[in-house]
Amino acid sequence: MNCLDVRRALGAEPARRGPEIEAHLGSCAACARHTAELARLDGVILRALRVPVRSPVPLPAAAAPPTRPRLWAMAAGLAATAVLAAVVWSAYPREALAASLVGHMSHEPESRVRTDVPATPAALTAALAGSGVSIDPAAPRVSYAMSCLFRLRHVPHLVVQSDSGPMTVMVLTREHVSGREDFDEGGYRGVIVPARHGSLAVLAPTGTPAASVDDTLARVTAALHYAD
Amino acid sequence: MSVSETSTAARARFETVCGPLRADLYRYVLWLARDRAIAEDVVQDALLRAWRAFGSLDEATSAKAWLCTIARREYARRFERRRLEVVDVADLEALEDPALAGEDDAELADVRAAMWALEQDYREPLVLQVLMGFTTEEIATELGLTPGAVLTRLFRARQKLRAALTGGSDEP
Repeated sequence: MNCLDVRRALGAEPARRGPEIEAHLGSCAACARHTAELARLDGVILRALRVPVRSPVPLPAAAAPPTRPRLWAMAAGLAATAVLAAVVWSAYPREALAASLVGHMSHEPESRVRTDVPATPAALTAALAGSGVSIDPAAPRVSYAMSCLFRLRHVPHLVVQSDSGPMTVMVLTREHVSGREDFDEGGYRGVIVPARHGSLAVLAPTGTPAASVDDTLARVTAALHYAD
Repeated sequence: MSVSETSTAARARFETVCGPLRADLYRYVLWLARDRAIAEDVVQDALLRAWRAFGSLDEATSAKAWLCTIARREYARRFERRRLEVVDVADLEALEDPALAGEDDAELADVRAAMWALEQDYREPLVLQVLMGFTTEEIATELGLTPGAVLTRLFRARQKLRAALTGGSDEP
């Protein structure tokens, strides 16, 4: 191996030194110095990468792994899980609801397309399962339905077609707002309003007429049915 | 053994295996995302996915690579598209997390700034090697590259760092 071979090898893997490299380093003072510099640099890189961690990210609540679906066991653990989840939930740092909604918009960009194809009844059923909400699928022209993890809860995420294009609807039965909240941030105009249970949010790209957002909100509100 | 005992045992194993990895997992994602809030969100969701899929992890020794894969996918799924849209070299200073900048040790601050400026293609394999302790083969698997390509990127990453820190050439 010549100097260039040795420096290339050590520059990629400083800790891996075969007999050929060791032999070269024993006879080449320049490469030995270069290797010492590299070792020092790696030490500094490691220290630089180890940025301070204010506090470890908490482990998730101890719900049973779904890989062992035993209903009775899951039911037996539900109460304990709920208590632990409540503790974790109360300690979880919360950002503004509007910011969370805007952040969630990056998750399923493929859902926001103009289309005349409605979401299937099966998709709607799956998206709304467990939410205590049902919807008239025809009235609001729902084209996409998914149950999404949002702020540590699964919530119905719908896309509704409107004359101004597709709009995202989040049914937030556990997120409470005291009154109507309009926002325009991160490329999205939106509105969050109190609902019979929790709240309801509609988001559309910035620049969408406010009247169109309100029209979609009204159509969705009229089509949603909340279980008591 | 009952199901509840099995679940309790699984939980204990999860905490034993994954708990100690959280700090470095967070650092890894932080060096990908370069934003503390994003890193915390991604790691939080990655840990939740890991817990749900914990039954698929057979060997505790592979937990670090397994968690990194989950976190990397979670980051890509949630944020890469948005980052590609908004990040511009000229905006890097403005976006930089304060945790990655100022520190009493000026040399550390310089190295972090140089790491920050590295292209992701060079930064990520270096983080996986130096911080996470991955072998070249493990990095290749994680990044979907050949081992030769990983070696080239690692070599180039150190070249670029040396050049940035010394102000000299990045020739070996």
